[in-house]
Amino acid sequence: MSMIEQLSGPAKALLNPSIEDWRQQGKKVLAYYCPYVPEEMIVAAGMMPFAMRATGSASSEEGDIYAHSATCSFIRHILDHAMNGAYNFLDGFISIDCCDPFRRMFDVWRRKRVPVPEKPLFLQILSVPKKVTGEEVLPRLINEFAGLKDNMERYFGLKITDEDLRRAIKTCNESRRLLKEVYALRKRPAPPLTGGQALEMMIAATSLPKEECNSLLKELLAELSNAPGQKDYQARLMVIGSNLDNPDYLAVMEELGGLVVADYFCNGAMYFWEPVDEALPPLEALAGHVLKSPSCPRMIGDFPRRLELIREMVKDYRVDGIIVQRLMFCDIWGAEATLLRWEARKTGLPLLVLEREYALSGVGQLKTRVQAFLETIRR
Amino acid sequence: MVEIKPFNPEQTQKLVETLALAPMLGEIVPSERSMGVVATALADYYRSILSAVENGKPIVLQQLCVGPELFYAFDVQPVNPEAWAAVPLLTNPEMAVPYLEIAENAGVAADLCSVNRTMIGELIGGSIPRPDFITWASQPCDSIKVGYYIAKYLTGVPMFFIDSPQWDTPECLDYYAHQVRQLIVFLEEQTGRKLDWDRLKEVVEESNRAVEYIIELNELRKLVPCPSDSRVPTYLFITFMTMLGLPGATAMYKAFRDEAKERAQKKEGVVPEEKIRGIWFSIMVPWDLFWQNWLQEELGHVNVMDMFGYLTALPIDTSTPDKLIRGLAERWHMAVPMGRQARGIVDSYFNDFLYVYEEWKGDCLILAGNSGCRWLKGAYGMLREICREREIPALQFDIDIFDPRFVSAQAYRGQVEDFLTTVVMPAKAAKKR
Repeated sequence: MSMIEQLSGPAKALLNPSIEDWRQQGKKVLAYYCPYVPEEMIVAAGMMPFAMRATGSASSEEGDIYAHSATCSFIRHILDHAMNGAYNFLDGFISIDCCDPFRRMFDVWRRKRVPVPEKPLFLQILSVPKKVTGEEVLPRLINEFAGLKDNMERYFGLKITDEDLRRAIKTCNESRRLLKEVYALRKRPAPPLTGGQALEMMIAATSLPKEECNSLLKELLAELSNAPGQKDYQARLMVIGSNLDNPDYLAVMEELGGLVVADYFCNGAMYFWEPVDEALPPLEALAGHVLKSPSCPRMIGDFPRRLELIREMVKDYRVDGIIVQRLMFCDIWGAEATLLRWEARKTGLPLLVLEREYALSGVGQLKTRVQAFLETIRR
Repeated sequence: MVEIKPFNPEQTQKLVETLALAPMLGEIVPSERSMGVVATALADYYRSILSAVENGKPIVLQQLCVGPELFYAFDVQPVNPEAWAAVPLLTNPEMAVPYLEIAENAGVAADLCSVNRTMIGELIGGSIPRPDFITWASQPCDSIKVGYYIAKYLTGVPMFFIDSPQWDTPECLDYYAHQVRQLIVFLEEQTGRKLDWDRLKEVVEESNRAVEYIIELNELRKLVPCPSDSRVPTYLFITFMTMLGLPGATAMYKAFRDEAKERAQKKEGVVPEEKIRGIWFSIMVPWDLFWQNWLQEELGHVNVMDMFGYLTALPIDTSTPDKLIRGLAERWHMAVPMGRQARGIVDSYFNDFLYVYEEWKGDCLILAGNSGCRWLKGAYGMLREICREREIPALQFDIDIFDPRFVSAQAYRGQVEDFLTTVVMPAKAAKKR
């Protein structure tokens, strides 16, 4: 089996054999949501970080009991999964106050003690500043991360030392470096992996123990460095937007002749783009990492920096057109899509805004819109 | 690029003329006395904005969670877009519709809260003055947070954004207070003037007098029967975020307090027979002018307290600049309705609702769910369970705060009437037995 095929496995289901092995060794798994959560803290505690997703959720029925239908379907699917015990393998869940629906979803977990009321999880929602500038921001964030560390130590009865954190930072930085190297291969005229495969890799990277992931990524790099690559495409696309953990969504675009060569979403480039500074005291380094990473549109006032990075990526990855995908009712990406649309009009860069639900649906409509877009930009 | 039209004051001038007529209505119809009082204050507010435009006084677009006190101290004219758009709905329920369409046509997501879509549409359409700078806070919700950035992008003017942490710890309050100090520096840069601390003290002391009246008034509203009109909480909120610190606002709160006190002394309620004490703990319906009259007169329902009228602000210690800043930080971070409940974990909303329900002796919860609201929609299931456990009759219905096309007045009024007559009244009667 090729390394690409091997790395595609974790994206197909919530659980994978590596998580089961990990659990069998008596070790803990902590879910997190948002790349602003310092997963190094989880690694330093000897636990496995798992990026929260609702893969395999066929309906949001149970979630709909708690959240109105005009709320992001991602959180309704997570709630449904949680109510049905799909996350029973978790020992905890850490998130940030990324958006209003996510905060409410977290409230349901906390108040209802899901997934197992008798065995409440370690749950923490972090208050991450919604801006990246201002002398007060870094100390506030360091304080928040220090609180997380204290709470984890207290809850799990362990000590997370600076040395543990430094080691974890090195390990996670190694992941970031490898992922960025793989992404760099996509700049080639014939990228050695499709957008769907790149997303599968990203899901694997956030659903496997870090060391295992790093060794697989090294093998993948070796495999891809001389691969012939994809030549049969009509246009090179960049996909921007809300959290996306379904590679099939990108596959639909790629079946029509597009090739996704770059992205800007939380579980894509935003996750690994910047390394954590290994020279700084660990908590300061982790907090600083949040502020220098490609920002989420929740970070107010940072649009110019996001735009600059997107423009750089468009140039470096030779992008022909941008697709902004947005989960229905996502205010944060809704506003960003508006700004990007206005910027695209200024520069003449083709841009399509698509709205979607968490579960892949309305494929016919999606195909029609993407096909029409590709017609306008094909090489 | 989206083109922004220059400000056209015509619509606002007409609004001022209409508001100026309201006190006459109060003289003819005694039940409309409070409407007359608030209309006078609002007419002054709009007049001062028109005058600022005419005289080139700096204008700040000021969001609801950044109080107006500091701007008045700086002699900067605050324009609060939420109130700016809500008040004209009193004269024309469809007033926001053209601006919603302008925003949507420009590419703004149609599911963004209509409050923010209207602001964006008004900026593009030239019906709100183009500001010299914009200030806003991250609370209460995502829509406001990102909506104001769109306004900043469109106008290209300088911005100051206050990040409200999720928590109320002393460390978080220090963080917030630091940002208030930074806001002062920002205003000094924008206006080219140093802050006159004595003037700020004066404004805040005026706001303290206003707060004392609000506290007293809200205490009086706990009486059975309730001696104060159902619409007063909305008036309190609109003026709290636009005019706090101005003598006109204080006079208005005093008038509301006096009116309630007078009725309370006579042991009279605002309606001859109070049948239901409602707690509206979400949005109100600003485009349906006489809905509260209808509820009061037809059904004997009084909105005894709602989310926006539940003002928890306290007087601020003005003895030192540090205490003053800290007081403003606490007020803006913790006491602005909706900001207070929407920020952080949902418990702050539930605790406030349950406290209000008990203290104001509510008979039911009515939740008008704004179509573009996300922070509360994710709490519906939990709230339903809370009400069920405590046997609190609860109604939730969908509506749009600024757009009457979403659900009509007839449709939502029917739902409210059915709920009050078939659920709340029988439940109340059964309790009495």
